Amino acid sequence: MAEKKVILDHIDDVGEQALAAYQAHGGYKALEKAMKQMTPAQILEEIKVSNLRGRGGAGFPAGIKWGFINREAPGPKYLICNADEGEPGTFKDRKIMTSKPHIIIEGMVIAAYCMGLDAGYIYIRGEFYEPYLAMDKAIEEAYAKGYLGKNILGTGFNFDLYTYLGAGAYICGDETALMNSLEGKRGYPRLKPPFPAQFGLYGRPTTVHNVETFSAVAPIIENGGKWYAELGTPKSGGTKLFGISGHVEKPGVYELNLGTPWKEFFEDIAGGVKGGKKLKAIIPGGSSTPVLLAEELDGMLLDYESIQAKGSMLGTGAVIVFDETTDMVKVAYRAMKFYAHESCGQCTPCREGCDWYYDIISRIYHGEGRVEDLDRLEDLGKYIGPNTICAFGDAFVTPTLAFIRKFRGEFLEYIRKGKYGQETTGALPGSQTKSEVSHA
Amino acid sequence: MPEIIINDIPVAFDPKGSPKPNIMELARSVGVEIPGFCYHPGLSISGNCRMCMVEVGMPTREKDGSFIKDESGKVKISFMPKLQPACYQEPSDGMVIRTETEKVVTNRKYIMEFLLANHPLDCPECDQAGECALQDYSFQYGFSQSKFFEEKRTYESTNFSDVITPELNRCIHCDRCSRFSKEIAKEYTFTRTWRGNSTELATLPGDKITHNYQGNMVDICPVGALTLTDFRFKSRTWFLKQKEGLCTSCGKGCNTVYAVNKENKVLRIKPRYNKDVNSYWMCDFGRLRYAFFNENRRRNSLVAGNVATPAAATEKAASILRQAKNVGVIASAGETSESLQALSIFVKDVLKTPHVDYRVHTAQVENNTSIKSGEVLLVNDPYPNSQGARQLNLLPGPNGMSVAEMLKNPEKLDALLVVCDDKMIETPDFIEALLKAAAKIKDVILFSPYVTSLDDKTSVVFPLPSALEQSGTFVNVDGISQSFAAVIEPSPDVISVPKVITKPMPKTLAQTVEALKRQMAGQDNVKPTGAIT
Amino acid sequence: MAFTFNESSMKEFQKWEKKFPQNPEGRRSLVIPALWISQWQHGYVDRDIVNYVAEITQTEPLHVWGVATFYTLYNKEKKGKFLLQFCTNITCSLLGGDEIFVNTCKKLGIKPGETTSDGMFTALEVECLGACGSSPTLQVNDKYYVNMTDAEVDRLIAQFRGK
Repeated sequence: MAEKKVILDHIDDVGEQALAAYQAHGGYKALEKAMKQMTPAQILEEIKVSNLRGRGGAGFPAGIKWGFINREAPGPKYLICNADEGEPGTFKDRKIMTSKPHIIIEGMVIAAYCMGLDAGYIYIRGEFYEPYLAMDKAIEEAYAKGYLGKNILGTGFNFDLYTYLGAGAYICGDETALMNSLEGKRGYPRLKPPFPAQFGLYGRPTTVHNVETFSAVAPIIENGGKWYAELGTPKSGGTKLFGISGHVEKPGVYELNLGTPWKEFFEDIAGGVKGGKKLKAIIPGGSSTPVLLAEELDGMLLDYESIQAKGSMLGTGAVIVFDETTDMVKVAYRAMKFYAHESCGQCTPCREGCDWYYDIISRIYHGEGRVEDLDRLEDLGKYIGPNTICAFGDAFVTPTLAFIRKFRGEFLEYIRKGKYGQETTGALPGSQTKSEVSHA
Repeated sequence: MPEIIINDIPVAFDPKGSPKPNIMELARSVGVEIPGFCYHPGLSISGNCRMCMVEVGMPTREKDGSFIKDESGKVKISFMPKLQPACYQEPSDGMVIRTETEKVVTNRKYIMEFLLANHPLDCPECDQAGECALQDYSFQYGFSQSKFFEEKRTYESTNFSDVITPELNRCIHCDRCSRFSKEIAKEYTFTRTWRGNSTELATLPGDKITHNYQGNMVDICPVGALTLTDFRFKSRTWFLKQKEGLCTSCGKGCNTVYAVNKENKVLRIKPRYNKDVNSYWMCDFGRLRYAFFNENRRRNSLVAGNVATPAAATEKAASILRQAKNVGVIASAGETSESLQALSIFVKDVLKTPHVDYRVHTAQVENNTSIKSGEVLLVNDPYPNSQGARQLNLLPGPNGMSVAEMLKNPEKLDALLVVCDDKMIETPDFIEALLKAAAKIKDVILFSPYVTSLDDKTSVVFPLPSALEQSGTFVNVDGISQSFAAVIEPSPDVISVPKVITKPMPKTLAQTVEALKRQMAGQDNVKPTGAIT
Repeated sequence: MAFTFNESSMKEFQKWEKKFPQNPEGRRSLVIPALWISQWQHGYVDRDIVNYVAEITQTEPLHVWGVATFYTLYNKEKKGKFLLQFCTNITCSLLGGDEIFVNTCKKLGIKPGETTSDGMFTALEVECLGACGSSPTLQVNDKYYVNMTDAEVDRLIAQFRGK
């Protein structure tokens, strides 16, 4: 188990973004194979066998998602590539779009052919202007070569692909918010059901996938689903791009077989803690995943199940490394500042709860915290996630509670040194942990 | 029929019914109240407040479709791990809803907590108090003390309407106001702007909402974020007597609730639901037009411009009418059908004159029953009962003169009986024409709820009750007959038209009753509807 | 002078028009690209642009304003010639990104979010730019600059001034 370059193969070669270079390294062979030698059902079977799971954070099996689309339903039906990479710590999709955009295009055409979709959109976050230009150029090349447009490879299959530029909203990484944004509206997530496969873009059947997920499709088709599955573990097939940053010696994007031991990745490949310092903690999969203490990482493997068993999530595979000097309260504060800034404001528990969480952590960080504040966060947190319209509620509650549980000492230290340090005792007025006065 | 079970009560529903079956309404129909702020039966579903979250379960089935039962033989219900919004959840056959489990009750406490977090403690100075969903649900479902100790989010003061005075700090972002503007008023001039906890319901910066239905936004705002400028600080709601009635400012006949204070003055009008007439809404024009009920009222009878007793005035009117050869009658379509019926019989059987007409306004002359251009409810005809007058055939007989003709040829009449109303008084051209004509007619007998400039130019004036002081029936422009009861007790001095005209000629009372009975039996159009829904 | 697209903006807009269905829904999708094109031409989104975009997309001005205010990358007021967007999110702040931001503001003599009096620079702190492997990251207008240090920022600012 080590680095396996499936998606990242040749990605750092100068000029790899050009169609000619991509093709010289084997690009678009999978497309030819899929459209000329395989039926959509066969393609779907390969994807199922591959155990490919969504790489945008949710990890939903692609084979099942592709099966939701009713091929025979009247069009138009859409394919969307979620390139709104906004999860703090994540920077893998940008690399693929900038340096090897054709692997995305090839994957999307194969997917569209399999599901019988008519047009696709690549939703790129507004900050990624350069990747957007790269993507546009690649699409132009693909059209010129006949890999997009009418009668692709003479099969009679038509598929158009377009880019869309977002304008600065993390919430548009949520698939239904993304669709609302693509429709030229405010990026509010939609209530579900109905799900995108029934009611998606413009109310039409739609499949949405992350950039990395699409990037895996061509290799899977070229080498077979079984090959891909065996690169990983029985439950998590294939390879995953891990972006490691923070207090690490060799930050960057690495492609690893799923199931690679954390130790091997961190110490052998990424060089361990920067400057040889001691490891304090990591965030394993983007800021929405709970922090893990250094001691919790013993024996952890980099796959969905192992990280979940440790109480966190693989997420986007964005690893942020914290060394012994890190002020975890500041990290928690900065994370909450991000979420408060990005909440769309549609539903009550998130709109009010997110700001409330930020206010509390901010107060603690700025020296005006009380011990009861930590209880308050625990108390409220239980009623945010289950009540929100989308996963944003869980996204800010879970990591914040992980910070305060695992670094309680640091939070208490801030509180002790703060304004109310000496007087903080017992319950705040209004705390319902004691006898509750109710009217019902 | 498929059914869902709400708190162990089975409720049948029609999946294809219109409006689409909604669990909020199905629950209400069996007396189960599910609280919610953003849900409104007249608007699209938003599902954002999260107050209506309930337990939703479906019966469990084997692979072959048969039900899985527990030891006691009851079908096992599998409840969804998360609560679901009742306003949004589509009902399906066999679904089980629980609205009072501990999970639901506790959840509501916390949703209230979130809603109150940034809500200012304005109750002592907020108009909404007493009619406030946030107050009510907080008391019923929330915690008794707040857990929020941070600084509350505030907005810069803004002025986007002449009808609404906003207090945006109170806003709970239910988005009802913006949905209303788009879906009902059909004007995209108010919506959510910015993001997160800075989300602000607004117009384009500097713009104003201009549609004629802004009062409804105040009605549906569950808190005091949108207040009616006209009603601001006028009265606490619990001091108001609120009675059902009809708006009288146009021929639509929107169903309303009149709020009256201790002095019997109308302070506010709000719409009342009627699925056939006005749904949940009314226009601002009608809503704000109530001063005339309160002001400038005629309380005394006059003879030749001097205060007289009702008996003396009646005697004088009777003597005028006994001698007059050519009598003209200008009726008012602001009178109830019952009043107009009596007048109609009086005109046809007693006065026996062909010169009778109610059509004072162009819309009545054209029998225009259509909605005014650009409006949702307001119609062109300003009179509440033109159709009633029309059904009673209060129109010129053979060789009879219309209103316009009577006013142009006053010398052809030696007596003119005018039933006056608030609309006529607001039309200076008409009053002027009437004054000019009155100068050339020997005797003018005026019935009016209001003091007018005609008073000292007429022979007799009778003080009429206003529309709020009568019970009766109006027929709206669509032919819908609506009955209403008096909202205010009339003061002792006012006399209605029927009372006057049946007094001097007692024989006609019996005739009137008989004729009424005949008319009721013969005419299907005039149907008293009794209680108004 | 009411706002309209100049020739190159119109060409760009026409490219975008081809991407969407030819119906009102597809037309509405053009709001976000139209706001971008307007901002590329004018520098920021103002009332005139809101009205213009509403007109060419056959949507309502308030809808366009609602969109413009939801998304942070649309400038609602005039910014400096160089919009310096410093990421201060988790990784960038671990590696000194917030200090670089604070220092830059001091050096330019402005408060966070403000523009220098000569209209050259606006300094903002922004959320994760998706370049964590080479942080601290700075975005200037559309371009990314990575591995920033105080010295690098100084060099860039000098370079921009030189332009």
